[in-house]
Amino acid sequence: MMARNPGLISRRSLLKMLGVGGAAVLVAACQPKEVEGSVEEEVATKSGQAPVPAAEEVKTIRYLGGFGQSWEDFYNTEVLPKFYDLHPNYKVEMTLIGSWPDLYNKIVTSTAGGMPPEVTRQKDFFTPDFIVRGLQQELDEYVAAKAPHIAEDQYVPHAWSNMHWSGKLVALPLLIFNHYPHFNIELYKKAGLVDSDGAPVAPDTWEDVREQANKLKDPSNNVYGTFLRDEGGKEDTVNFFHVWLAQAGGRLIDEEFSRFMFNTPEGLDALTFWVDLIKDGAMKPPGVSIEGIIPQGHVGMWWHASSYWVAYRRDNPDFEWSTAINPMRKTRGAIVRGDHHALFRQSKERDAGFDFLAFHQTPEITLAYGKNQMMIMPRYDVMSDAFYKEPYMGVPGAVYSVEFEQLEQPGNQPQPIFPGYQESSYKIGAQLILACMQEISPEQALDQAEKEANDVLASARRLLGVD
Amino acid sequence: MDINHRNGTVPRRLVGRIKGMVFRSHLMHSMIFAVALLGALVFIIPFAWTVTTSLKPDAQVMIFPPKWIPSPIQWRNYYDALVRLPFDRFFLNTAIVTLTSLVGDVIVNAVVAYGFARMDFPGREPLFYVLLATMMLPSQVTMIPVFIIFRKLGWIDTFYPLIVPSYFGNAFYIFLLRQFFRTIPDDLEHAARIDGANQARILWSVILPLSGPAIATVAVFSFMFHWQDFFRPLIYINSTHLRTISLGLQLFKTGYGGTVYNQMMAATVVCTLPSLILFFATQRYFISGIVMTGMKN
Amino acid sequence: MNSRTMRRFQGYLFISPWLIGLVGLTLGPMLLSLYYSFNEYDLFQPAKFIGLGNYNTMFFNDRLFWISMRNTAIYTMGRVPIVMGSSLVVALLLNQPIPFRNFLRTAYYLPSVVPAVAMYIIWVWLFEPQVGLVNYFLSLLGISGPLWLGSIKWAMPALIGMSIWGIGGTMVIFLAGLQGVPEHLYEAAELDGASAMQRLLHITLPMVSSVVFFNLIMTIIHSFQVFGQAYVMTSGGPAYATLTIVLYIYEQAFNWFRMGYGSGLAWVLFAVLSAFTAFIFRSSTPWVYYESGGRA
Repeated sequence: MMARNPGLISRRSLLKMLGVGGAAVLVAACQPKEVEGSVEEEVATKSGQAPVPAAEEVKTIRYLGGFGQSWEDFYNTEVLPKFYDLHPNYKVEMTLIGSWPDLYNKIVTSTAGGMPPEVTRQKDFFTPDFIVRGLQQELDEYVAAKAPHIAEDQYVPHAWSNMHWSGKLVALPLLIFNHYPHFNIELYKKAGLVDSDGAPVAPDTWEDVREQANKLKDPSNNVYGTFLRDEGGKEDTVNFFHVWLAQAGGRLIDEEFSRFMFNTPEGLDALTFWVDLIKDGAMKPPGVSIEGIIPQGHVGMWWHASSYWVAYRRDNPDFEWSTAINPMRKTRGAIVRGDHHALFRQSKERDAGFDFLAFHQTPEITLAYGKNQMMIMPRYDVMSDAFYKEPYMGVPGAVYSVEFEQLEQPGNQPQPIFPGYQESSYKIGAQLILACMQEISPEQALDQAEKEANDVLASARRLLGVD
Repeated sequence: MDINHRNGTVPRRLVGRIKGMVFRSHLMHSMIFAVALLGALVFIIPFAWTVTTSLKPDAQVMIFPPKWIPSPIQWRNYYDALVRLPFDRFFLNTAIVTLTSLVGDVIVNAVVAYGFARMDFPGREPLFYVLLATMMLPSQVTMIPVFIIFRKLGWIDTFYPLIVPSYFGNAFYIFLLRQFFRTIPDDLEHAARIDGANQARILWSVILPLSGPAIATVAVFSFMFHWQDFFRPLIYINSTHLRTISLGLQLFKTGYGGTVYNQMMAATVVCTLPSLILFFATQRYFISGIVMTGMKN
Repeated sequence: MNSRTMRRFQGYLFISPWLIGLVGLTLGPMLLSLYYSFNEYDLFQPAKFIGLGNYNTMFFNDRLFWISMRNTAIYTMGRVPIVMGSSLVVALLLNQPIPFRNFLRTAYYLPSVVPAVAMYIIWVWLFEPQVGLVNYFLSLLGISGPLWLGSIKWAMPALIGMSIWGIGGTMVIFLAGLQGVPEHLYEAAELDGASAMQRLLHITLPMVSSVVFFNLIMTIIHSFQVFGQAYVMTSGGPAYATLTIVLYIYEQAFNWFRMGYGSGLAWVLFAVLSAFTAFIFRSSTPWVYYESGGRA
C-alpha cells in the first residue's frame, strides 16, 4: 500500500488531535469549579482570613455592570471583603461592560437566554422594560424580611418613587445625580469672564451661556465654548436634551406615559439653542473627537455631575474647575436621575443576590461607594456626611453643595421611567444628532422624532398590556 | 512542450518566461514589482502602526503628526492591557472552544464527506445539492430559533452552543473534503475491499492517510474561524469568565472618549499572534486549501 | 434486511451527523423562524399570531428597514467591485515572475488572518480623525481628512474602503485560477503576435471566469451579511448611517426582544439574497467558462 504523503497527517497525528480535543473537553468541564475555588481563596486571603473550606455550597452572585478598573478595585478592596465576612460561602463575580447600550443589550440577551445574572447595576429608565416582562424581582417581601434599613423615610423622594412600578418596589437606589454646569477656570480667566476673586462668573441665563461660549471658543487652539454631553444619539443624548428641555419649561412625556411632549415650542427652543451654538462654532459639533476634551482644556463650559471629577484630576493633576447651578430659561431645572440595582427573578442564587443588594444599601457601604465614585447617594444619612461638605481635593469651586443646591431647584423633574424609554430614546437621539450635524432642521428633527418615538411607545404599551 | 502549472513549479516557469521575454520585459517586470511592493507596504503598514502604538507611552498616543518610534518604549502597556481584563482567561476559553470545535469539524466532516464521495445510497445526488444550497444560506435566518433552542436546553452562557454545531457537519468543509476524496484513485479502495475491509476501515486506513492536505486545510480553516468568531459568543456568552478573546477585545472599545488606544493595540497584537503563527506554520495548506475550493466548482 | 440493502443504506449512517444537523440546526430552525415571522413573540409571553403584520410594518411603516437595506446595498455595491477588482489585479501582478513573489503573496494575505474584531479595532484607530494614519497620509497630500466614522457622509465609505485590506482570500483563489490557465494558450497567442493586453482579455479572463463567478457569489453573500464591522466600529451610527440589515435584525431581536419581527426581517434578507444569487447564476451562462464544459 502506497502512502502518497507519508507523515503529513498520519493516523498518529489524528489520534493526537483526538487526544487534545478530549483533554480540552475534560478541561472545559472542570474549569469553572477550579476558578471559583481559586478566586474565592484569593479574596479571602486579601481580607486577611484563611481560606474558608467550602463546607457549605458556594453561592455565586453574578454582578453585571461596571466600567473600568477603579470600579472593580473598589469592590475588591472595600466592599467584597466585608461582604464575605458576613457570608463566607458567597462569591461575587463581577462582569465588566463597555458602555451603557452594551449593558442594556447584555441584560436583554442574558434574560432572553434564560440565564440572567443575579444583580445588575442599571440606569433607572432600564427598569420598566424588564419589570413589565416579569424579569426583575419585586423586592417588598425581601425588604420586609431582611432589610429594615431600606425604608421610604431614608431616601430622597425622587429616588424612592423611581424605584417603584405599579406600587411595588422593583429596584434599589444606587445613586442619584443631575447635570449642572462646570467651568474651566483657566479658560475663563483667559476670556476675561472672571470676577474680582478670579472665579468664573456663572452664566445666569441662556443668553449668558451663548455669550460666554462664544467668548471662550478658540478655533486655532481647538477650544470650544461647550460641547454635547453625549453624541452617541442614544439614551444619553436624549437625557442631556431633557435637561435643557426642563430649563425651557417643557416636558419630555406626559404624566400617563401615553405620548411624548417634546415637540413643542419649548423643545424647539432647546434644540435650536444647541444648533445655533454649533453654527457659531461655540459648541463642538458631533463627530469631531477630542481626546481629553475636558481635562486637556479644550472646552470652557460643560455639564454633568460630580462623578467625573476623579477622572479629571487623574488625567491632569493641575486641572481646576468650578461649578454652578443651571442657568435660567424658564426654570433652572435639571433631571434628577440615578442608577438602580436590580435583582433578576430567574437568576440562580436570587436570595444570595438580595443579600448582596441589602448589604450594598447599608449606610456604611453606601457612603463608601459615594466617596469612591464621587457620587451623591440618595440616603439622607449618607448625604449629610461630612464628606460632602468638603471641597474636592483643593479644586476651588468643586464643591458638592452646588449639586445639592441643584437638587432642590423647583424646576427639576424626575427622570420619567416607562417601558420603551430605551428604544424611543434611540429614535429621538438620532434625530437630535442629525439636527446638530445640520443635516435637517430642528423642526424636522423634532417632528420625525416625535412620530417615531410615539410609535415605539404605542407598541410597547400594546404588547405589554400596560394600557 | 506543455509546461504544467498546476502545482506551480516556480523555477522552471521562471526560467522559461525569462528566456522568452528577456529582451523586452525587464522593464515591465520591474514596474510590476514596484507596484506590487508598494501595495504590499500599504498592507503591512497598519500592522506596523498597531505595533508602534502598542508601545507608546500615554502622552505620545494622540499627538500629531504621529510619531513612528515611541520613546521611551512602554512595554507596560502589554501588561496593563492583558491584566486589566482577564485575558489569560479569554485565551483559555477561546482555546477550549476552538480546539474542541476543530476536532468535531475534522472528524465529522471527513466521515460525512466520505459518505458523499464514495458511498452509493439512494438520494445521494439530491442530498448533495441540498448541501451545496445550504452553503449559501445566510445564518441569520436560523439564528433566532437556534438561540431559542439552545435557551430551552439551558445552554446559554456555556460553551455548548459554540462547540456542538461543529459535530453536526459543515457544508463548506464537507464539500472541500468530498472533492478531495474523489481525486483519490479507486484502485486503492478496491484493493482494500478485496482484502475484506469495510467502509469505515477503508476510510480510516486508506483515505485518511492520503488526505493530509485536505484535512489540514479543514483544521486550519476551522481554527481560524473559531478563534476569531465574534457573533456567536456575542449572543451566547454573558459571564466574564467565559468570554472569548473577540469579546474581550471588544470591551476595549467603549462608547466614550477616553479609549486607551495604546493598551487596546497591545491587546490586539497579542490576540493576533496565534493566527499569524499558525498561518506561517501552515502556509502551504492555506494556499492549497483555497485552491481546492476555488478550482473545483 | 439483507446485507446488500444494508450496504446500500450504509451511506446514510456516514452522513447521519450532517443529516441530523440539517434537520435540527438548519431546516427545522428555518421553518420555525418562518413561523415566528407571522407572530409577535418576545420570549416571555406566548407567541401571538398576527399574520402578515410584521411584513406589513416592515414594508410600510418602518423607515429603518429601508434604511438598513439601502445601507447594505450600498455596502455591497461598493465592496464587491473593490474586492473583486483589486484582488484580481493583485493576483495578476503576483502571477508574474517577479522577485520575492512568495513574500509579497504572504504580505497581501496576512491581513485576512487577523481576527475580525482585532481588524476592526485596528481600523478604528487608523480612521481616528485627529491622529489616525489615514488622515495623516491625507494631510501629507494636502487634504484635510473628514471625520470618517464620526461623519454621516463618510462612515459607510470608510467601512467599504477598509475592505481592501481583506482581499487576501479572494486574491489567493484568483491566483489558483490563474495558475490553472494552460501555458500553451499563451505561447500560441504570442506566436500569433498578441499583445499582453490582448492575452489578458482574450485568454486570461475567460479562462478564469469560473473562479470570478465563484468569488463574486461568495463576496456578495458575505457583503450582505455584514455585521461585526458595523457593530464594533460604529454601532450602526452615526444616526443610522451604517445600520446594516443584519445589525438591524440583531437589534430588533436582542435589544428589543422582537423575535417575531427579527425572524421576518431575516426571511426578507434570505429572499433578497436568493433572488440575487439566482439572478447571477442565470446570467452567468454567457460569460462563465467551465473547463469541464458544463456546470459542476
